[in-house]
Order: sequence, then structure tokens, then C-alpha cells
Amino acid sequence: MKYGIITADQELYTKRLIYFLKFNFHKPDCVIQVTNSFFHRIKRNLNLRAVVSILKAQTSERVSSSAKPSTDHLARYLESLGITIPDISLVQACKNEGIPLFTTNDLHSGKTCELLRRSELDLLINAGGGIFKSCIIDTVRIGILNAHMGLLPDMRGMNVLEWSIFYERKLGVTVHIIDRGIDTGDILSFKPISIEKGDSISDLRDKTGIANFELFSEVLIDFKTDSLTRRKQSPEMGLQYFVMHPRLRSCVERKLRDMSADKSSIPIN
Amino acid sequence: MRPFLHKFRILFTRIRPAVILRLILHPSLFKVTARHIFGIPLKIAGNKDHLESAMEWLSLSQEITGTGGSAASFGFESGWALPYPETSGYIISTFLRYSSFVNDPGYLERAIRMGDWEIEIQLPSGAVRGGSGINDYPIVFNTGMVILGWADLYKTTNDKRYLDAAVKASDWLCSISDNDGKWARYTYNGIPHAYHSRVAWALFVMADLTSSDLYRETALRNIRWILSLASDNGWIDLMGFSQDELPLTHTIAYTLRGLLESSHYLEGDLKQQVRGLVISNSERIFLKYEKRKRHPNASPEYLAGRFNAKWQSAASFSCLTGNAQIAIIWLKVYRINSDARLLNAALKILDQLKEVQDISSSNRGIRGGIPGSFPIWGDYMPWSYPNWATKFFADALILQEELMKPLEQR
Repeated sequence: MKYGIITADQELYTKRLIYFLKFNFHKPDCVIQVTNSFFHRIKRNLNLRAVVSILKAQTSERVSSSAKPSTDHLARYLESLGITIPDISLVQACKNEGIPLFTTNDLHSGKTCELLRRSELDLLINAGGGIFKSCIIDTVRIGILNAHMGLLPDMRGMNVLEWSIFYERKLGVTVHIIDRGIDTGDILSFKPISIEKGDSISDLRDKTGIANFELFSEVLIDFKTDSLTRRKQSPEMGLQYFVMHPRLRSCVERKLRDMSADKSSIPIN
Repeated sequence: MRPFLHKFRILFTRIRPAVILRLILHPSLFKVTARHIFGIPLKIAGNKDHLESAMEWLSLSQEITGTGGSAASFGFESGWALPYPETSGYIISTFLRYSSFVNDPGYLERAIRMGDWEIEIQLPSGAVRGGSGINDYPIVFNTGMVILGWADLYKTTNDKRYLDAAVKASDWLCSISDNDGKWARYTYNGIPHAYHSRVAWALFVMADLTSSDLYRETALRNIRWILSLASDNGWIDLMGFSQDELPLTHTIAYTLRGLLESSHYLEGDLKQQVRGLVISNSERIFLKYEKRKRHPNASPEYLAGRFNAKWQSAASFSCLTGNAQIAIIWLKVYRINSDARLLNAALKILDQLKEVQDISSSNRGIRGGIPGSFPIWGDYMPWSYPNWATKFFADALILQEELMKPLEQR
């Protein structure tokens, strides 16, 4: 089975994923990096309101990524397995590991589709590659795997970790096949995550990273051994959620603080 | 680049010499126009500041007329307009709500002055006058809107004068209602409208206050007539001001709000049917809004100002009045079904309104007001700040605060 990883602006995460999968004997056959440069995005959306909105989104991304979890759970997890992530670029890491790396600045360009078609991949793991159109989806034989930060089919869309806390639903990661809808493709596996004392949203996000890695590895084994079950979902089985407004997010943060301060009162899981 | 050029093209077709002159003479107006050309949002302050500023604008719109009624709008071309009986009617309710929200009796006095003015100018038939200023023709919709204000005033003050005026107005509405439930005479543009659901709502309120079967039956017939206009996809015919233009979100929201408020007075299957229609349509608009973005993490774009019968966005401008009304519907539906996605969308769309509400402008006609459209030269109330846009914005902020309180206290 031939599989690749596709990513955009997620260097560290992708690097960690490569080394983790290699550790578990699933070295990827190629990596595709979408370099959606800031300039490229601005050029595509030449409209000041859109620019302001993109700047805001960039800032909020930066703020949320700078709101570091109290512990880098993923790094600690990799360390505990004896996996060392060298402090080098993704390009260098791929070179060192002998993995072909392809870069493109437009995910849906004819060039990217052609590249994927030529690669004849059975599977593609999405490591933050973006939203895929059918021209990309159709180039991979089995499909594109995505790790979604919530329970499917109930919680689709954006910020589902926060929405799950808001609604006191089960927290965890679902790996599914990407189809033309938003998080509506076949469900492959779900791994719950638990809230521990003192956990913040950033901590939980970080913990979902561990669940992502483990799930990807398990699903790859299942694919190789032909023991995977795909559970179909229909669009009406769940709701699509969208980016949470900062005011609701504050409510969620407060709720999580209360819940994780006294672990015994956690109603989730 | 294309939307930007399109915006410019529309601006040049809309701008009139009088507006150009005013833009040159008044830097505050020029600043607003420049911000709308380049899409530069204003900095958002706390809800309290935005609400206070909106209420101050509404108060000024009342003071400026010297009558008790609120000026219909502040326009770039001609400044403050004449007092508008229709919208003053429902601004009474906003003043009352705000008065109790911040515990300020000054706004109760304002509501009373407005209600008294409405009584002074009520037509002998009991109807409310059409248009802004003092006109001799009655209009059904305007009558319903003032009844809502009088009814709220009566509930607050227990002063029977308001009830009597509202009864007279309700009797007139019942006397001209068609057998099938619609109002076809004394209507805006001379056609029946689905947004007369708000008139039905006013009659339900009056039926509740007076135990009148006639009011209730007339309102029920109208609601049934509106339901008969609904298609399988939830679209309701005749939601617009006229038959040859697509409805604005302003009148779509009018229709849905009237149905939603009326549903509180209904029972059984009819109640479920009306609520189901409102909830499914508000979800349709919510999805349209949330999916209109350039980046998955970015804020949504402005909601289109018009929709077609397939619920497709059908305008390049946004009707800000309609956006505030839609926010109210989302908030009210959230209160019914606890779908916090609607609350979330309401918070976002209200933030967009705050981004165009200049709370520090040196021009008192602009400070605190909400323009009719974005950009300001958009189809709906171009180059002006209608009092009903600010009214619905203030209503939405009060409701938002009420709904957020339990979540933030939990």
C-alpha cells in the first residue's frame, strides 16, 4: 500500500507525524506541502475587509497557538516512546528520511492534481492540508484520511472541541475518509480523550494530537491487514458547527476550568 | 479585485451631486463613505457602549422632530427626516425595554411622549397614517406596528388611553381584512404582504389583552393565509415590498418574526407548523451566513441583502437593518431550541453591525446610528441611517445580553 501525507503551514505537527509513523513501521511514500503564503492569500482576496478578516484570523491563530498548553503533551508522549524530533525543517527531515517532498502553492491547481495522479497513492493523510475539492479527492485510490477533533457524525465542522465542551458531549478524535461534504465521509475509528485536573482548551487540543497519531497508525495497520470497517454517515445524521465567537469561547474556557478544577464533577466521557 | 471594482461601479451610479457636495462639506460623512469603500471596520467596544450610543441616537431622532415621534432617518443628502408614525410605534417598545434594562425612567418618559404623539395623530377611523410626516392615508402595516407600541405602553403604565387607541386601531384592521385572511387594501404598494404576519402578531397581543375573539380570528386567518404562501423549501411568497423585486432580508425577517411571535398565541399542529417554518428558514439563512467566508477561520462575510426563492444570495450589498432583525430571530430561536450555533451566528452578525456603528463621530446624525445598507450606497435606504435599523440593533443587543447572562454566570 502506498500512502502520503499532505500538509499546509503545519511543519512541526507533520514532522512529528512522520517520525511517529516511521517508528510504527509506516514510513510515508511522499509528503505534499501546500505553501499557502500570506502574500498569496492576500492577492487572492484583494478586498480590504477580507484582508482585515484574514489578518484577524491569522492573529487569532497566532494567539491560540501562542496560548501554549501548560505541557507539550505530544512532545512528552513522543519522548516517552523514545522518538526524537530533530530541530530541522520539514524539507530537511524528508530529505534525511528519503521521503520525496513535493511543494505547491495552490492545493487545487492542475499541477497538484497531476502530481497526485502520478503518485498513484492508495491513501493520503491530511495533516492540515485544507479543504479538498473533488479533483483532489478523486486522485487517491482509497481516500484521504482526516482526524477530526470531535465525535462524528454528531459534531461536524469547526471548533468542535469547544462545542463538545459547551454541550457536554464526548471528547475525542474521529478518523474518517474525506468526501465532498464537511466531515460527512465514512467513519473509520474514534478515540476518546479525557479531561484531567487543570486542563485548558490548549491542553485538550494537544492531547487530541496524540489521539490523531495513534488513530492514524491503527487505521494504517487495519488497511494493510484488510480488517477495517467503514461506517457510512448521511448528512442529516449530524450538525455542522462553525468558528466559535470569542464570548462563547470564554464561557467554554470558564466551564472547562470549573470542570477540570474538580475532576470528579466532569460529566463528559 | 473584482468585487472591489464592482463596488466602485455601483458607487458611481448611485452617487448624486447633492451627496457629493455634502461629502465635501462634511468630513464626517466623507469618513463614513471612505470606510465603506475600503471596507475598513471600526473598532468594537463593549456592548454597553454600543447600546448606549444607539439609544442616544434614537433619543436624538425623537428630540429633533419636536413632536414626540422619531425622525424616519438621518440622510447624507437632507439630514433628519420627518417623524415616522410606523417606526415610532415600535420604537416605543425599544424605549420601554431599555428603560427597564438599565433602570432609567427617562426612557419610559420618552416612550410615553411617543405614544401620546401617536394618539394625537391617529386617524378618526382608528388607523395609523402612512409614510413619514403627517399624511391622510391609512396603512395596515403601520397600524399594526403602532398597536404593538401602545400595547406595551398599556402593559407598563396601565393607562387606558393607550389600550383605547389600540382597540380602535385593531377594530379598523379587522374591518378591512379579506375573507381569506390577507390585507389587500390600504397596504404598501397596494398589494398584500406576507410580512403582515407582524400585524397578525399585534392582533394576537390585543386579543390577549381584551379577550376579543374577533382579533384572534382575524389574526389566525392571516397566519393561515401566510402559510398557504409557503413552498416546500420554506420560501414564502409576497415577502417583499413589491412583486417585481426580490425581498430584502429586512422584510424576510419581518415575516419570520411576525410568524414566530404569533406562534406563542397558537396551539397544537398550527403552532408546530408555524414554528417549524420559522426555525427551518432561520437555519437556512444561518447556514448561508456562516458559509460565506474566504478562509475557514475568518469571520463570515456580510449577509446578502436579498434572497431569491431558492434561498440563494441575490444582492451585492448587505441590508444592515435586516441583519439586526435576523440576529433577533436567531436569538429567539436559540431560546426555543437551545441550538447555540444560532446564538453564535447572532453574536457574529451583531459584531459586524458594531463595526459600522460609529460611536465617536462628531456628527450626531451618525454617532450611534446604523446605516440602512453596507456599503452605505447599497439598495436599501442608500446614504441614510433609518431609525428602524438602530431600533432593531438596540433590541438585538438587549436580547443578546439577556441570553448571555445565564451562560456567563453558570
